[in-house]
Amino acid sequence: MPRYTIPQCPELLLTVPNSDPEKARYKATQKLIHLINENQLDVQIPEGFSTRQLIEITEKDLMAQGEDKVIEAVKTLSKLSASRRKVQELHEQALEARHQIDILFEDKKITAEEFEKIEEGFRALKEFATANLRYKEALPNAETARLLIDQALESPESPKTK
Amino acid sequence: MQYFSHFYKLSTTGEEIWLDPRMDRDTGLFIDPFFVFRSEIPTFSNAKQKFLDFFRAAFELAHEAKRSGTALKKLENLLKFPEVMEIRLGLSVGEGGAGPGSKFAKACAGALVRLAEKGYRGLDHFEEIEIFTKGIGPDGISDATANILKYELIQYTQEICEQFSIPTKKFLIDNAQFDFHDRRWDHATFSLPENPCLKNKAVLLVPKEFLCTIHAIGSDGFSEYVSRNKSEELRADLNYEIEKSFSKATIIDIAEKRPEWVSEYIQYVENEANITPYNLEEDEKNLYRNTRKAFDFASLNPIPLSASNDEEFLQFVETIIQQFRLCVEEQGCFKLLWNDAQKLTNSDEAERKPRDENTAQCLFSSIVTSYCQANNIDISREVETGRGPVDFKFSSGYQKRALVELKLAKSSKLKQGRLEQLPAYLRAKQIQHGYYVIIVYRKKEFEKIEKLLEEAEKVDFGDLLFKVVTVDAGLDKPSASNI
Repeated sequence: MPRYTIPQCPELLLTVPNSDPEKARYKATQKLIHLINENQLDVQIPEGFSTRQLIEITEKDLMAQGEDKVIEAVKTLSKLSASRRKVQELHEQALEARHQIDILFEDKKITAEEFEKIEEGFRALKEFATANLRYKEALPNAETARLLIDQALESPESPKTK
Repeated sequence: MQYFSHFYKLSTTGEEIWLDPRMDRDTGLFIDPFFVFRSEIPTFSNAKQKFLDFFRAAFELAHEAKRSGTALKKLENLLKFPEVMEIRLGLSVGEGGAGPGSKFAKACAGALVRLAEKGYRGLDHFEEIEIFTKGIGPDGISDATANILKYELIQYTQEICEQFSIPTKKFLIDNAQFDFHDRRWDHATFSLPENPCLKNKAVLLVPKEFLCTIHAIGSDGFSEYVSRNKSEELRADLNYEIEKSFSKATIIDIAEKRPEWVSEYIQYVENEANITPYNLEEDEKNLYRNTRKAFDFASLNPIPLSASNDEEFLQFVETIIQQFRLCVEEQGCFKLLWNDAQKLTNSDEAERKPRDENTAQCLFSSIVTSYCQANNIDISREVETGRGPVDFKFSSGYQKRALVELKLAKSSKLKQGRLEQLPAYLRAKQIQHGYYVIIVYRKKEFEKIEKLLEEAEKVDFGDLLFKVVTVDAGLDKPSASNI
């Protein structure tokens, strides 16, 4: 829902349910004059104040300065979590595949079924290796992200430590 | 029924140069840009230039629109003039007119593109578009004018508000200003007086000198001009026989084939024709004056009215009719029923002409409406009052129908023999009370009424009540009579 304010009262936020910008501005101006006429808003807007003079407030405008970094940190941690889960899930399959590989070095005859298992195991090994690599790569960034989140979670009232 | 000055309790004299608008419905008058351009009111001194600039911008788009659909769309948006409900003028009856909107915009844009193709870059009088186009009526021209002049009308109203200390509040006004840079309309907020009869709408006051019923420049005038001045060329070059009035298609064809005639016609209107704004004092078309006088009379002579049974209803109808008679006979309203009302003297009765039945009916219906509205009594179809059965609905819940018919004594319709069918008619319409209110202009007309009364005595009305009430609108009246 679009949000608007006016230079005369920047703390005012006029929210209107309309996606068409022209109509949204019109509705927001109607809201504004209603507030003024009902004495719910003590501001003077100049004669001829146009709907185009409303200032649109976007989601980005409402974000805190470090908000972008927090979002990035959460993304990094989320990536770490996903890769860690994958690594865990594939670990057993990878061990099994590793065991299948040893058959290739034995003298006995390998059946078609065993070949199929071995080839499936390669896929599992590849996936495990990729996930593990991603996890290892994500780890240092995630450390930094963890620190940032800790800072962001610090309560404003909590005593600052030197 | 409520007028601006009444609602704001203004001590106006009626001599004000602005129209005191009726706020509950539109008055059937239009703004004529021709009179705006002639005006000497300082607030409107820049009006002509503003029109020229606006239509120059429109023509620029019209030239682009010859090749671009986007430009045509933009032109149509530019020419979309919503009805300016704040001025309460126009053709609509009741709660605001439909307004020309998109239909007008399309017709007007099409006309501008065609003119652009012929090399036009602007128009001195934009209302001449109407000559070249089908589907543009006086309402459209008036709305376009009011939109383009909206900012000036706002300023003008604010000046009057300041003069009379009228309270204002903030309103969002559509198409308040035209942004020449972006070629688009801006909606903006202004402090203006409120219209209590229209939700969230302000009142914009209009100078009387801008008002007309037919625009000074238009296809009717052009048709008349070419018939009078171009008959030979019409026959020889364009193969048209001179007719009393040309069809719109013919007018467009002539204007497109001979655009120079349109220019000549406009020159003639500007320099030679004696065209004046609509005279509200005379109000030949019964659009304002009589309704206003009736309202003033009812406001100055308030009577509490109600009914909850047949007896009270009878009293109610007769009181209203008596008030009408008082208004005409004793409060000078008889003058409203004659031509040249303001110049009337007793000595020149023979030379004066009474106005038509519609004028008297309009005054009568306005008196009835004013009293009913003042007493919260609903009446069926206001316009019909004075012409037939009227349903009255009282706040007590009591409802009753009466025949209250106003006729002129001089009318050929007031003939003998017509009363015979009246009882059957009243019964068929479930009416118990019937009244003939007869307006008498000259003494000799009383003889006609005597005959009518003799006839009425012979008719068997049974349990029905039928009365004839005469109202003397003569210039040298004998004392009031209720026969």
